[in-house]
Amino acid sequence: MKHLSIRHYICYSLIVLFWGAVLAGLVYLPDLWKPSGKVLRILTWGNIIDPAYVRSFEKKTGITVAISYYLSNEELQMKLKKTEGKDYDLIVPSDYAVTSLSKLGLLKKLDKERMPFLRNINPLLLNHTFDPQNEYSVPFEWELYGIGFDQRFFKNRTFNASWGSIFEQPHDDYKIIMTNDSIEAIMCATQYLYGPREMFSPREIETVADVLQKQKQWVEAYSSTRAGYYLATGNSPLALTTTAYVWAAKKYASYIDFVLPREGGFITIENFAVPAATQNDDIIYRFMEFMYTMESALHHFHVYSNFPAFFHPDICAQLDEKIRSFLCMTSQDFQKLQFFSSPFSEELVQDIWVSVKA
Amino acid sequence: MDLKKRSAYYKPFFFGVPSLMWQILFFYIPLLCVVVLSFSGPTLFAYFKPFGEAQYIRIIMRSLLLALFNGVVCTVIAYPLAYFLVFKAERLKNLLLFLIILPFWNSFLLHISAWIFVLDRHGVLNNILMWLGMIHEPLHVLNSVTAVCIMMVYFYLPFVVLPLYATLERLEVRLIESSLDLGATWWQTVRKVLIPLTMPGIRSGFFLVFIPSFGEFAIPEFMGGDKEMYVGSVVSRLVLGTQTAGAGAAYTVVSSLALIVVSGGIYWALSRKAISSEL
Amino acid sequence: MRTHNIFARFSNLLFVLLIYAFLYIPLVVLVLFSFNKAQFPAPWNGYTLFWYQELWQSTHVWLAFYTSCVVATSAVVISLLLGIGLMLYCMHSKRVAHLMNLFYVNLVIPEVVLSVGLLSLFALCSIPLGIPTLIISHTVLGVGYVVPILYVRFKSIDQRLIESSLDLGATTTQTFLRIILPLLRPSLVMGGLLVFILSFDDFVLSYFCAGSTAQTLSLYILSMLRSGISPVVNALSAILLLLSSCLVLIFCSLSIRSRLF
Repeated sequence: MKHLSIRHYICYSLIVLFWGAVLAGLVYLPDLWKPSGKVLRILTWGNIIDPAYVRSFEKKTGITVAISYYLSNEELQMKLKKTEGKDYDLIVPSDYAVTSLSKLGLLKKLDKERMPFLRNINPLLLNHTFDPQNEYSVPFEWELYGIGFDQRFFKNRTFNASWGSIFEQPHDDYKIIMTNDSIEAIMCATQYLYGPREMFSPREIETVADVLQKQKQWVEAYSSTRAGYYLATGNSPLALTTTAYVWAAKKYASYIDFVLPREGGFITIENFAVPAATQNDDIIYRFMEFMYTMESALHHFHVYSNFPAFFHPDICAQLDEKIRSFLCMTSQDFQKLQFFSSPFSEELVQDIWVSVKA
Repeated sequence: MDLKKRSAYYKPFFFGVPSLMWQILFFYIPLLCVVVLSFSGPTLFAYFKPFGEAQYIRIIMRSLLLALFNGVVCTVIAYPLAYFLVFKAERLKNLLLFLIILPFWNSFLLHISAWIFVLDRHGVLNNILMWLGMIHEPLHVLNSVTAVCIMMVYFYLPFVVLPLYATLERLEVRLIESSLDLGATWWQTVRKVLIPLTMPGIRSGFFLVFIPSFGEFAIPEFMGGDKEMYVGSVVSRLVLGTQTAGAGAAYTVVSSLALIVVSGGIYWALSRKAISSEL
Repeated sequence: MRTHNIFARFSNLLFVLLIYAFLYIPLVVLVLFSFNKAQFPAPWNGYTLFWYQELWQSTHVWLAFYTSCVVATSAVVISLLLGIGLMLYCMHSKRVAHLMNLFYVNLVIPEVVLSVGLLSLFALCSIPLGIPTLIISHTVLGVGYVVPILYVRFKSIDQRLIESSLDLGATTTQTFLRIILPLLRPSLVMGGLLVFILSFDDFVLSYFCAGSTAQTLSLYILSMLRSGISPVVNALSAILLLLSSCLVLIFCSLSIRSRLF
């Protein structure tokens, strides 16, 4: 049995400390060599901000813009919580994410003085319950949830412009595309069954789960991002999808169309918000001014098919009629739309979704 | 002289400890972080209870089945391939081996897009089959279990080919030849000599596919229409939620235990058939 | 090798050809459609080189590709070095063999859990997210593959070789460098290749540990999932294929005699 003296332990500890120092150097030192120069760090959805368009902002101002992406509001919240919002200067949360983020104290109040473009924003999109007075967020673009369909398929067939066509078994032999987001699926089901309500009894929750489970037999695929693709390629003639995906697919498949269901439909608003820990306020507001112009609105609509929050009468003249009917919606029609929220606890939502897919 | 001896004494520790430090710092401590941060409730049991339900167990079984299928199919396909590379492709050996790995220098997501395009209802596969007259209605391959299986085998095949190649390379060919000389048929030689001798390679190849396949959820999501949940889907949803992180950690523990138990069983079963080449 | 009957030989060749065809179908599709006028999922619309021109000008794609390469190469180098160091340690004391089991757990834990844990750790220690953290996380992944692969090969090295080397007067370091390392070389190459592919393809770990300034190619493509993948990326994969084929051809022509494996 080898006799390990104190000296041995000291030597071992020194070796460990040596490597620890090397590691710390590798990890912390590169930060000191960061390029000096202003960087605007944005965290956003996949198709909200066009990197190519942002190049002209970089050229004009010399500020580098670094865009990172997230795939769901839950991930956004988790990332911000873990890093305490220190990593980003500008984020793009959806409506309900703004509420939870502001409750957690992760958002900074917006300085309305530095936002002259506010008067150009569609008033229908402002002052909703998720952020009354728009203290923390300003809408950038929005889209509607409804039914996307293939006009060729329904030329000689009855088309039911209601959630029933999604949640009831189709008489013809086809399958539908359903959204892959648990909250969207559950809330569309509740709107179909009970109309726009916020509170549900346990019996009603069970009915919702039942409807979703039964629906699975005639679902071709659960996919939010590829609904347009499936519609365009004839994989399925009907989908629960958004205006953005339908209009993007329309570019190469003009036979696809979108309609809001009789029960109302849903709206999501993507907003700009500022994390509480950032110090780069100047460049944030400069960037926002750059993004809220007619040129930017039209460009982003052309590239991503999202409805711009920036509203100017001239915009309507440049877009086609169907879009105009949405953009220039009356406030009565607007009232029928519902926002996504969290009607049930997170655990319950997960349970329902797992029971549908298990 | 004493210094040299002393430095020689500590040298192995000096070179070996970084990997251990790395593993502890960047693997075990993050795991601890997840566990500690998630299990903030009073009782541990509350986190594990929901996973006794049938649906969660069914998900684990489904993942195990997929992993097993993938492991077996990949190994069965890769063995003759590796055999061909080692023994029959003389000068082209290295080239062919690199050709197997070459496709994977592209991003996984691109492969998925391409396969979706091929297996689509009006995609390349269906168009070719209809043009050849072999079918009259397009096959429904995409968004089904078939598509998932195809993509899984496609993606994990190189993981088995490489270890098998390495093992077959070092095989003592004399043993095979003597077995054939002594009168055994080709099939008998394969079963009783070749496979047991190469069992270490088969084992490592199989597990290099089996274990990651268990946690796979991206392929079933993209190719299978996300109609069914696997362990990976459940864990990622739970762990990323703000209040369900604890449940995510608990489910990871439960499913990992199931995986370890099954892996242990398979390892034991495979090891019984292994023989060493030392005579 | 002894010849088997001709039927076995033929079916073997056909089988192998089918496998290679299977592996290359999507690549052929990708390359073909990089010349398509319309965006990727859309059907064939006409031949154009437009996307290659776009690729030439898209600096962010090249930056993402460069980042991916740097991260993957560093991850490979570091994991191999760590693995080799560990084998050196193993050579000396048999008790260390038990520590190998620490490394087998890497494969079992889902990447998502590891990513969230690493993110928490980095946040706790105020480590700025970026390329170093990317490299660290990919190396953790890599070590989980490299160490088992190396150790399996290490265990199967004939002990008599080591003993005779030591008997003949070589120090343990010399034994390691001149005898063990060359014997381990096939596993090193194999491990390195596997880790490179894994790191290059990985998007779960990168998603959490990359932070705001670093973006890998997989992350870039992931971000395009919503809007549809631009054929610029198809063009990139066609070019990548071309580059790696050239590398392979050069490599094979240089070492056509030397047996690397």
